[in-house]
Amino acid sequence: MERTIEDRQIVQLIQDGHSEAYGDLVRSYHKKVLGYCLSMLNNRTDAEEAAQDIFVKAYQALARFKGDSSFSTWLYRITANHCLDILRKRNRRKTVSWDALVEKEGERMHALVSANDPGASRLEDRQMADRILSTLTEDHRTVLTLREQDGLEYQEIAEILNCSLDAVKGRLARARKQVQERLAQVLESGNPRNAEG
Amino acid sequence: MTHEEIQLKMFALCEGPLTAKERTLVERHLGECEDCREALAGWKEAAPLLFPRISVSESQEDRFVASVMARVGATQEPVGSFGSSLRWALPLLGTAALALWMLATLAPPQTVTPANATVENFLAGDSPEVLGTNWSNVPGTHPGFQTVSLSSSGR
Repeated sequence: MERTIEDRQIVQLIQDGHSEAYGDLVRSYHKKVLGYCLSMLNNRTDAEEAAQDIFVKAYQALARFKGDSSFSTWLYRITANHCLDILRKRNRRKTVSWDALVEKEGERMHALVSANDPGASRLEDRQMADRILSTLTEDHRTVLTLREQDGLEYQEIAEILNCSLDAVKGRLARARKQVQERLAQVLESGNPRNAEG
Repeated sequence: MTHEEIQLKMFALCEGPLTAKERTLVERHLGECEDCREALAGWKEAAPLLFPRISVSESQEDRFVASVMARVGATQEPVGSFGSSLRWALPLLGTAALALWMLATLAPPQTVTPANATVENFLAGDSPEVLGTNWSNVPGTHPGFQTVSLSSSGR
């Protein structure tokens, strides 16, 4: 709540012409926005660039911010929409199917989820986790990221996504179930390459 | 509540937004259902791997803020200025001004001649537009008008 009041005061300052105050908002939300972008876009460079674009876009739209929601919710809406735009542009070029991923990366995925590969670096783990997430639908990925990456409350997620609290519960549960099923599928199938050989 | 319905709500059990009745039902189900308990525990293990906390050093943050503020500074107007907030209306206002100018310039002059207007009435100062007006009493009336009026009456 304190953060919300402080944000409103800063927004008012900026709307009154003190644009330098925007730096405080950027500093406050940098990590959250970057974390969200990184989780959605799977690439640090793309995420940094997207986060910058989001903050510039938010600044340019700040004159239209009326305070109906908190600044945080408003900023997350811009962030979620921006990342979805990027993902849709990417998906027009390439769609990752779960079956294709298991076929191609089954061995590494099995090593990851069964923790049988102590030599695997954190970077490789991260890439593999990203690939699993990349097979989720946009809705599922968005809601999971808002909850798990940014730790937002269900109510705030509902406001950001403009849906009901029950819809958030349902989407989150289905997304988690989907991820768990895929992890279990990898564990059960073992090494697809070896199985085929 | 069915097993499927419970699965949709069991994560909310750990994260807050359940009614007291839902909470009781989910807790009871979790006590009895090993599959659901495993699913909940499995997710708690998988989540940190799928969504690791990112680390950002102070210098990285400073650079990021500086980059954003440089781009913000390059925008033409402060966010709350009149020009920025009403920029969308400028093309509309321009078009409206052009349309008014064209109407004023190109439209032929129109003379409204009421049916009962006569030269005599006009010269007597009682045309329909001025009926009931004693022009000699109107402050600021141009003296020339009174002259014309008087000379006309005398005719």
